[in-house]
Amino acid sequence: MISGTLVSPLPVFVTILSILVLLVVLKFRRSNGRYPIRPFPRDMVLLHQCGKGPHAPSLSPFIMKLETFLKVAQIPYQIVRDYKMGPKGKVPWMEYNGMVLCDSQLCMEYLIAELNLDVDAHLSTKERAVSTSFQRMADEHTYWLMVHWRWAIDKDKICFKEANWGIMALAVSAFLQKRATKTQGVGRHSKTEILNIIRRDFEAFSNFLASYTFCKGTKKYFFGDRATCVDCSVFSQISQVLWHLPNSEPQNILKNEFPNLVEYCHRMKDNFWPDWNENILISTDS
Amino acid sequence: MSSIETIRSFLETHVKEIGAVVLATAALLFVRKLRQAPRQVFPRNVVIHHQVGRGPFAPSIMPFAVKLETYLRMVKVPYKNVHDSYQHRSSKGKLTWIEYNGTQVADSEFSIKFINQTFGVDPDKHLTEEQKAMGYAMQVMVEEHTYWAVTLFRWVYERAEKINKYLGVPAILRYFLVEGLRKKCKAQGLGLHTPQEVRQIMAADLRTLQSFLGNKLFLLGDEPCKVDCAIFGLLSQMYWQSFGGENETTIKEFPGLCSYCERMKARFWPDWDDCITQGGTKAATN
Repeated sequence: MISGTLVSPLPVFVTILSILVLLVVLKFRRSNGRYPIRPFPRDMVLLHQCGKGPHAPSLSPFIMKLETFLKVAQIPYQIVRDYKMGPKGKVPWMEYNGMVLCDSQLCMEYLIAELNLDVDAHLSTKERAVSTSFQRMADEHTYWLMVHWRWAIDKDKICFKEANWGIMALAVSAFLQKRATKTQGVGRHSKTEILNIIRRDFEAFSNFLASYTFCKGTKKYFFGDRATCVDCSVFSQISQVLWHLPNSEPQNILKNEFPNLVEYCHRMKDNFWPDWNENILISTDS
Repeated sequence: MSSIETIRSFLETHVKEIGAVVLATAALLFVRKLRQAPRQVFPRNVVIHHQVGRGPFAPSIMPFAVKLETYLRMVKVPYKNVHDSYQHRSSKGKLTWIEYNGTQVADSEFSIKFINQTFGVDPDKHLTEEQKAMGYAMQVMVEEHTYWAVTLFRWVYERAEKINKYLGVPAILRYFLVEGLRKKCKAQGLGLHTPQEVRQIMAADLRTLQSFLGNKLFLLGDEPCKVDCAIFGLLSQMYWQSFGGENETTIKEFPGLCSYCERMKARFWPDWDDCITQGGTKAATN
């Protein structure tokens, strides 16, 4: 074997092999992670999430959606801030009596079936259909518009900095999210087009909230005076614009053109989040 | 310092080779530009609808192209199909777009808004705000959620095998197409679920549509509107162009939606058989 000025091949080979093995192990560790990871209290949801948001309980609308649902359905739960990703590499995720579940919508559907909850039980078939469509719209469309705004258009990222995100985390997340929104589709639109689409989404929420065909009693929420699953989704998505996009054009559109949505968010916050101020980093009077 | 000297000495000793590579690249690019066909001149006062070509069993394999063309027929606006989208993509890099008297508009929804403004048409003017809100939510659900489930089955889980019979993409390219789409669906979110979960989610969306449709002829009443075009765009792919795959099996569990598809076809596509290639056996005459 010629050595001399060349690096000896064996350590190079071992280094490359170890890096490859490490990559493979890391890839499979995420999908086959050992869950549950500790003994669990019975009949209590362990809600795994990240840190508190600066002005609303989380910077993630899906964490807020699942936690709001637990409050609406009055299910006892404990927050676990372990910053660990769930089985599908997403947060939030939860454990319940040894079952591990990921994805906020699947978690809600599981709990409704398992605990025989009546959150949506009073809705007719048609109301359920309308409820599902608004939930899909909030979580699969309004969400991406908000994500594109906060990562691609908003240069200041004030709320992330208030939540102590470091420069590296901001740079990496911005790169990944911009790529994701381009893949999803909304990332290809211009700023004006994005604002028009956001306005269309808000208009649909606002007009439906203000309409009375599906109303039984006073219209405090989407389907009357009882909060249902769709309220958890819509509230969580709009709350990111209301509380985590300060002085932005989407927030101005929301406050100036759709005051009933702003009132709706405050109503959800006042009625279901009495502990709001304990769950945010920067307490204000709003 | 020594690395800069190394690079400089490399450049100095290989001037001829580097020059040859640069010249060859420039020549190739120049020839390619020359060989590109000049932009066609289109007739005036006619909407030019850029598409990828007629499909084997539905007017296009792209749901948004079927949506847009159905809409053009609904509002009875003069239009001409030009099947050149692969060579001339929209400004957003997508395959469905229009141009009119030199103005180019990308994205099916912006195209519809442009058509409405240019021709002073509005098939939705008889709807209440609440109906428009519910219709919009249904459309967004189909285009931003169900669309990804359909894409997952057609292109990822079934590896585009069935549809490739009519596309003729070579196996190696098909591999990269499938894996690229798998990554895109994971970035969107739906691709993180198992196929069984995606199927359930897709069925839940279709159940929502069927429940909302009920006994009505079209989604929002006895007269079709813009939302019907959007929904028909995607459902047509599931009903006629899934070649026995899971998308077709799923929609056939919802007879209300199947008869809705037939109704839309009868209403807006009396020349359907001339707009398809009958499984690639003949050229579409329309």
